[in-house]
Order: sequence, then structure tokens, then C-alpha cells
Amino acid sequence: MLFRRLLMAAVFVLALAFPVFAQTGAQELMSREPGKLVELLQNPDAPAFEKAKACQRLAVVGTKDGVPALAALLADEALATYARSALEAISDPSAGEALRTATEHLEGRQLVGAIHSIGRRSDTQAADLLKKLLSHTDPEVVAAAAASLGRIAPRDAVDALTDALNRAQDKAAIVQACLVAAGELADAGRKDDALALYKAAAAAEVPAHLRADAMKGQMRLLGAAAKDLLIEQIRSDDETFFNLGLAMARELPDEEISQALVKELKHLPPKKGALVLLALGDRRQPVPLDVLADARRSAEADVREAAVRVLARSDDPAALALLFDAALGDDDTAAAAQEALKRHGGEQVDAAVLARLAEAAPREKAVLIGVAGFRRIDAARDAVTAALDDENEAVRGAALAALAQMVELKDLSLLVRLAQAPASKETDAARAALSVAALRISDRNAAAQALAATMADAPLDYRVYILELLGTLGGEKALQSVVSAVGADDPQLKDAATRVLGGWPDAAAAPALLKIATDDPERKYQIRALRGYLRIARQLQLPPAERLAMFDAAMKIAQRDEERTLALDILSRVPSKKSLELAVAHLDNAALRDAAATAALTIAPRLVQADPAAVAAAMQKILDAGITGEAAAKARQLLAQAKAQ
Amino acid sequence: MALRKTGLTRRGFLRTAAGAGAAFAAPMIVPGRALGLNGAIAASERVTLAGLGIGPRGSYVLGCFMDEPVVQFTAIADVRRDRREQTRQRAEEKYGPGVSMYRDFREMLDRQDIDAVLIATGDRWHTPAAVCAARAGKDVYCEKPCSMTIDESQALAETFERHGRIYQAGTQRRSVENFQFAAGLCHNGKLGKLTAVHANTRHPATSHDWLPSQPEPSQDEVDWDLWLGPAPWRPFNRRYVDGGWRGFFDFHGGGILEWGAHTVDLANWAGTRDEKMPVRYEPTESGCVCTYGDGLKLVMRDQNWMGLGTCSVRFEGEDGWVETGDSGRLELSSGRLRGEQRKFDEIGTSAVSHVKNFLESVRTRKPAHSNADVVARSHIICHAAYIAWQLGRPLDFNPEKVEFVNDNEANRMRSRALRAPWRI
Repeated sequence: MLFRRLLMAAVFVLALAFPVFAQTGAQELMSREPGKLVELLQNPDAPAFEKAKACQRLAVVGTKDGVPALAALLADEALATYARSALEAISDPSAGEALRTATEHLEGRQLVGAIHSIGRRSDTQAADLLKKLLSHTDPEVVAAAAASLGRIAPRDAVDALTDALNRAQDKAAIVQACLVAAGELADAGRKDDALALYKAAAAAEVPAHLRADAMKGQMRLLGAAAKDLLIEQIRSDDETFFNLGLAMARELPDEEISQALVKELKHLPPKKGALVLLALGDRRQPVPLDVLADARRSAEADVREAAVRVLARSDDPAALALLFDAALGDDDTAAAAQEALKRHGGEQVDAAVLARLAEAAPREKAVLIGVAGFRRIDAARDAVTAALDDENEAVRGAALAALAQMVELKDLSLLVRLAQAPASKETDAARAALSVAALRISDRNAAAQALAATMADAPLDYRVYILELLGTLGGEKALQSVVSAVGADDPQLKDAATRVLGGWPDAAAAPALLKIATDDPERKYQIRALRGYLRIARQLQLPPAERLAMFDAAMKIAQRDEERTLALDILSRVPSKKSLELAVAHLDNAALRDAAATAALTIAPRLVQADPAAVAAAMQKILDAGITGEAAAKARQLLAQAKAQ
Repeated sequence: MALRKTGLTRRGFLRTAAGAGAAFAAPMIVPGRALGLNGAIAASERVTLAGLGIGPRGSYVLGCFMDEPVVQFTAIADVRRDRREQTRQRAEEKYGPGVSMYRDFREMLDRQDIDAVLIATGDRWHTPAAVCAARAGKDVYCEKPCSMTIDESQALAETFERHGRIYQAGTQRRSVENFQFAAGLCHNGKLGKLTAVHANTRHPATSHDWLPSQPEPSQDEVDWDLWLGPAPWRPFNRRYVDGGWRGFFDFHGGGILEWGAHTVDLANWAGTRDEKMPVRYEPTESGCVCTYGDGLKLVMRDQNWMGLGTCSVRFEGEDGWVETGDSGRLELSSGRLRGEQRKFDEIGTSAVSHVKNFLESVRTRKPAHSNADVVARSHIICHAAYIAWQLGRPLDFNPEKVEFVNDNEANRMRSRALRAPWRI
């Protein structure tokens, strides 16, 4: 009993502490004239919600007339951010003056916020004020002042920020401001000032990454003259500075930088050398071939692989030869080299593949066939076809995968023959290849017809596979074949056909699904077909009228509430008065009430401006139907919105 | 109000320098060792990862990280106690005891032994948290959308450029092959001169309302002040914390940004190689039609897609078109283009390849696929489209100055104040 009393008392206290705000109707509030919004701000009895919305609207349309009322909110913990948004946006000088004046009496977060807003306004008149605030006792205030000063008055900021670097508690924040200011100075052509600030920041007692950032700014300004500084970073044992060196190795464009990096390569430990080699590969200047050849001979796989990646970007015949050696070799960088050859842009790769294919040993042959297939080298097709019967399993596998990328309609039978074989690893590979090949055939209907024709007298598992493939392929002929398989005597075939039809990639399957859902003697196929039909209506591309017609059709034949619930979801996709009325018509059915309300509440926001009367009527029906919780809250909100239109 | 003046960053220079040496296209995905990433990893070479705000999607992405041998997950920061504990328990099952928990991520970022951070908070935190991490010297993998405003998009790009950190937005479709293939058809001229790129977006509307106030839980259970973070104050309601923040203007950028962070990003990549932004935005009932300076259209729409999966894109040229989506399947306009097709196994929602790309960038210091510079552009496009939609009128845009032309209201919608003490 005591516990209950205490609980009640706690609830009462909480209720006092958290009064329920007026929290809806923002749209109406924000449509009022700016003058009315200012009046609202001046009303001491107006709820926080309404003042917040007034500020948000004044951020877009407010003028100097609103500045005093907005400034009065800068000390308000709840509303200061809203007021600042408006004051940042109002271009009249009075807004800047209000923010500057406010810094005299604000404290803590509100003071920090006002300083940020001064920075956002680029208020150059605030430079002296901000310098003064660099001596504030609150480190957050100092950080905010430094950030704003660095952004809006970089020339004035050099001395003040340099001085603050020595005495500020939060030196990291000052360095960040220095980086901003130095960037601005550099953009303005004041290179010496920028360099001075970067150097001061680089020497500050701050974490290494910030010193590295300052050094980065320096290097950018120095250009080619940053060569020694860059090499110093590349040599660094500190990962932060090495990473800086790597980034700048890509960014600084000068040739002498490239030369210095190449020279440095031989002195670096392998893992670092590999990363620098990659950076060199991204530069304008080509990496000398002897450097890459050396790298390919490295004992470290990282270095060898980096060389592969750089070689992949060269059209030099000697570089290509190195790439082929890597791809046909047996170390653990071969896969990367093979991938590089597949995607290499140079036409000479095709000729080189053909030349090597003729003489290749089985392992090399498999690799070359893989490259030929990926690149779709027409001239290699006969060799690839012949390799289907190679005595080496790896070669046969490569040939299957390659042929999938190269085969045309007339040659599909090559893959069909293998795909019809009894279950085995190679049969699986053949079917995977046939699936890829079928997607690529230029005439989809012809491919579907050809594939469907292979089903006759074929093993059952093959026929099921072809039905699934036809489902992936899509198109008129594929659909005809699958629909015809629905009437098959074999239950496994019928099962597969209805399953494929249920997941058909476009809306063309809808009539067939509706027919099965209506006429099929077996209930499980009726339900499956109806679900497939509903999937199309809910998810695929359809004109609104057709979607609504499908809703009607589905509701007529649905025998279970599960499918009726899915059908109601169709209406959510058709925001119209008719769909809204159709949805609320099902509120009387207890099993469908929630789904009907959900659909109506999805449609209503998109209709409320065009047809507020329809929305108001529908929302009232939802509330009358006894819907509770968030759905009811949303309905009430929409009802109010509709009535306010 | 002055937005940052660079449009966008000095990285344009970087891109030129780094890209000019590439006579041929480098392989996009290199299998095998990947510079030790798949081999035996010495402790000193591991990427020490921390998590920030790991919800449902973050949990999936974290799993992709934890599958990589190079990763050592070491700390989690979350304003929710239950999620802190869930993530720690999961990580300790793999790595053993020693995963630290933080309510306030700033304490976690102060640790010098953390290399990278996975940020999977709500959208309002994405830019400010990523900026804090960059200033603290961490590389960042951050879920999309990357920003709440045009101004945040610029600040994100500038901060990562200034601090030289690796950034990967969770726009993972850039690393998924069917989308790469479709973009490649644009880049290699197989579609002819491009006429339109289409991006699957959702209805843009958001709400300015507040949910009813409820008593705040203890700070340890849910730190409401830190949950709000840079967003303007409003009273607590549990629904926000449980994922119901979506759809509210202060927390969510609307349906164009929700999917456009992926699809507009892909379209801008395919259509302009990330180099341009449209100059005109014309809102429609549920999207926007944007036009680039050369006449190319970028169409944001939420319907009439071919059913190839969520987040579909369609690229049209004078010689053909391609459409694809998260299913991995492609539809192509002609037999000639069908012949170019390949079969792709990774679906659009998979982050596996994208995480690998990020980890490789952490090691090599080469910008990641979805680096801050490129996603800033695509996000600015989404924000600009949403501004046009909210105003209900066509807007002209100057991509160099990153401002609307002769439209003061639109320009004032490019930024919002962040709640103190947060700044970008």
C-alpha cells in the first residue's frame, strides 16, 4: 500500500515536471505570416513547441523585425538552438549585433552556441570580441571562439591563435582553428601567413595526428619543395607520420617527388615499401620498369602484389609480360594478377592470351582460358570449346565458365549437353554456366524457347532447373513455358512451375497466377498463386488503376485473413480518395481493422492537402472504430490537419 | 550568412594528380591476399575498430567488419545501455574480454589506440560525430545519409580533407558489382551520349510535429541529451529512441535523402563521374527532376520501376539503357547490351565488399569508394531537391558557389544551427 502511494506520488511529480506540450499542428503554425510568428514569440504563455516552430519558420522568412524576440530566446535552454537558426539566417546586421551583445550575459552552452552562430554568420565585426573570448575560463568557450575566429577573420587570427597555442587548456581545439585559418589564408594567397600558422600548429603540444595535419598543410603549400619533408615522413617509424607521407605521395604532383620516392623504395622495409609502391602507381609519372621487376622478385608477398597492381595500369609490353608471368606463376599473388589481366584495358592482352594459349601446359591453360572468357575474346572461342573435352579437370572447369561468357544462341547446346548429365560437380558447373550464358543471349525469347525445348525427355531435375532458369530470364516465351508446366502431371514439376511463377520478375505473370488462385483444384497452389499475385500488386511496377483492380480481384477470391491483410497493403501504394475509402471500409472487420487503419494512415498524409474532406472523414472513422495507441494519435493529428486546411 | 566558399574542396587537385597516371582502368576488386588483409595478421597491423550507436543496420555492418581478420573490435559507445551491452557481449564472444563501453563517445574518441570508428547512429549525428572522429584522428565508416543539410555536406568533405582521414559512407552499392557494371556502361560509352539518369527515391515529406512528452529515463539507460546531440531540443518520447525518429524533420532528411543517398549518389557517379551537380531542380508530386549544365536529366521518382529490387537506378543514353536494383538483376534495352551482361551474386544491401574497400583504404591511405568528397556532392543534390520540393517551385543552383540563384528562402534552408556545444 505504501509502495502504491509512493508510486502515485512519483507519477504526480513526474507529471508536473513533464507537462504535456501542444505538439501537433506545426504545418498550420508555420504557414502564418512572419509578423504573427513574432507575436507568438513575444507571448509569454505560448508553449515551447509553438515558439520552436515559429523560430524554424522565421529561419526561412524572418526579417530584422523578429530579431529582438529571437534574441530573447538565446538564454532559453530549450529554444536557443531554434532561435540561433533564425538569427544565423537573417542577413540584417541587427542579427549579428544581437548575437554579439548576447555573449555579454550568456553562459555555458548558450554562450558556446551564440559564438558558433557568430562564426556561421561570418561576422567580421566580432573579431575583437572573439579574441577576447580566447581568454575565457571555460575551455568550451575558448574552443568555440577559436573556431569562429579562425573561420571569419584568419588574418586577424594569426597572432591571437599562435598566442593561444601556448596557454590554452584545450590546445587541440586551438590547433583545429589554426588549420581552418591557415587553409583560408592559403586560399586567399597569403602563403607566408598560412605557413607560419601551420608551423606553429605542427610544433604544438597536441596529439600526433593534429601535428601531422598541420604538416600536411605545410607540404601542400610548399609543393615540390616539400620533397625532403615528405621523405622524412615516409621514413618515420610513427605510423601517423608514415600515413601522412603515403597520402602526400599521391597528392603532390611534381616529378622530383616521384624520383625521390623511387629512390627511397630500396631503403624501406618491405611492408612500407609495398604501400609506397602502390602510391607511386597512382601518380602521373610511370614507375620505372626495373623497379617493378625488382619488386616482383621480392621475397615479400606484399611487395610482389603491389607490383602486380602497378603493372596492371601500364600498357608497356614489358610490363604486360611481367603481369602474365605473375598470373601464370604459382605464388599467392597469382589471383590478383589474373584479375588484373581480365580487366586490363589494353587490346594487346587479347593477342598475348591467344599466343600463349596455343602452347600452354594444363595449369596455365586453365588460367588463360579464364582470362579469355572474361574478356570475351572471340578468336579464342574454338580453343575454349575444344577445352570442354580436355582431360584435365581444371581446364574443363575453366572452359565451362569461359564459354558462359562467350557462347551465342546457336552454341547453347554445348552447355545443355553437359547440364543434362547426371548430378555431379561438373553438372553443377555446367548448369551455372548455362544460367550465365542464357542471361547474355541477345534475344531473350529465342533463348527461352531454345531452353524450354531441351526439357522434353530430359531428367526431372534438369527440367526443374530449366523452369527456375526461365524464371530468372523472364519474358513472354519463358512465361508461356512455365505456365504450361503448371498443368504438368508430375507433381514436382507443377510444384516448381507454381513456385517460379510466384516469384516472376514482372507483372506479366499476374493473370496466370489469378487463374491458378481461382481454378486450381489444389488449395496449396491456390494460396501460393494468390500470394504471388499479391506480391506483384504490392511490389512491382503497375499503373494505379491496375493496382486497384488487382486489390478488388484479390479480395474477391481470398479465403483467409492473412491474404486479405496483404491485399490491404496494396492500397498503401495508391494514394487516392478511392483507395482511402476502400481501406476504411474494412475497419468493421476486427481481423482486418489494424491493416485497414495502417493503409489509411499511409495514404492520408499524401492526400490531406488535395482532399482534406476525404481525409477528415477517414480519420474520424478510424477513431470511431476504436483504434488506439500511436495509430490513433496519428489519426487525430491528421484529422486536425485536415480540418485546418 | 556565408557558406564555406570552396566548391567543394581542394581535393579536386588531389583527384587530378592521383588519377592521371591511370592509363588503364585498375581492377575494381582484387582477390587474394589484398596486401595482407587476408593473410595472417600481426597484432601491430590490426585495425582497431570502435562502434558508435550500433542499431539494427549497424549491427549487420559490424558483423561484416568482424568477419575480417584484420579487424579488432575494441570499444562501443552508445547512449542506450541495452545496446552498449548487446554489442559488447557480441564482440567479447569473438575477441574475448576487454571490449570497453562508453555512454559518451567523446571519451572513446580520446583513446589513442583506436584507428577507426563505425558510426551507425541516427542521421542527425552522422556529420557531427564523423567530424569529431576526424578531429580525433580516426578513420570513419559512417552509415548513410551522411548529412542533414547542404552545409553539413560541405563541412564533412572539408573536415576529412583537412584532417587527412579515410571516410567511407555506408553507400555500399558503389562496391556492389551490378551497380558498378551499370555505371560502367555509362563511363565506357556503351549507352552512347547520356540523356537521363534515374534514381529510386521515396516520398520526401517529413513532419515538424513533436511526439507527446514522456518522463525521461535515467541517463544511464538512455542519455536523452546526448541522443538529441546536435538536434534542437524537444521533450523525450520513447518512440524516437526505438527508431521512430524517422519522418521527423529535425532528425530525418525525408524520402529523397533516405534512398537518394544511395541512388542519387549512383546516378551522379554514372552520369558525371562525381564531377558535377545539377543546375536546376524542378519538384514533382513525390520527387524532383534535376538538370545538369549539359542538359543531362537526373530524375528522382518513387514509382514506375521495373521490379529489380529496392534502390533501383536507370541510366539512359542515345544508344540504350540499363536498369538495375538490389536484386542484382539487370534489364538492358537491347540484345547488344544483354551480351555485355554478367551474373552478379552480391546483393545491393550487402556491405561485405564495401567494408573490404574501406579497410584497404585505411591501410593504403587511398580514398575509399564512397569518400567524403564524392558523397558530399550527391548529398547536396538530395538536399537541394528536397528544398525545391518543400518550397514547391523550381530552383536554379550554382554548383561552384553551392548556392541557389536569386532565391533567398532556398539559400536560408541550406543550413541549421547545431545545438551547443556541437559544431562542425
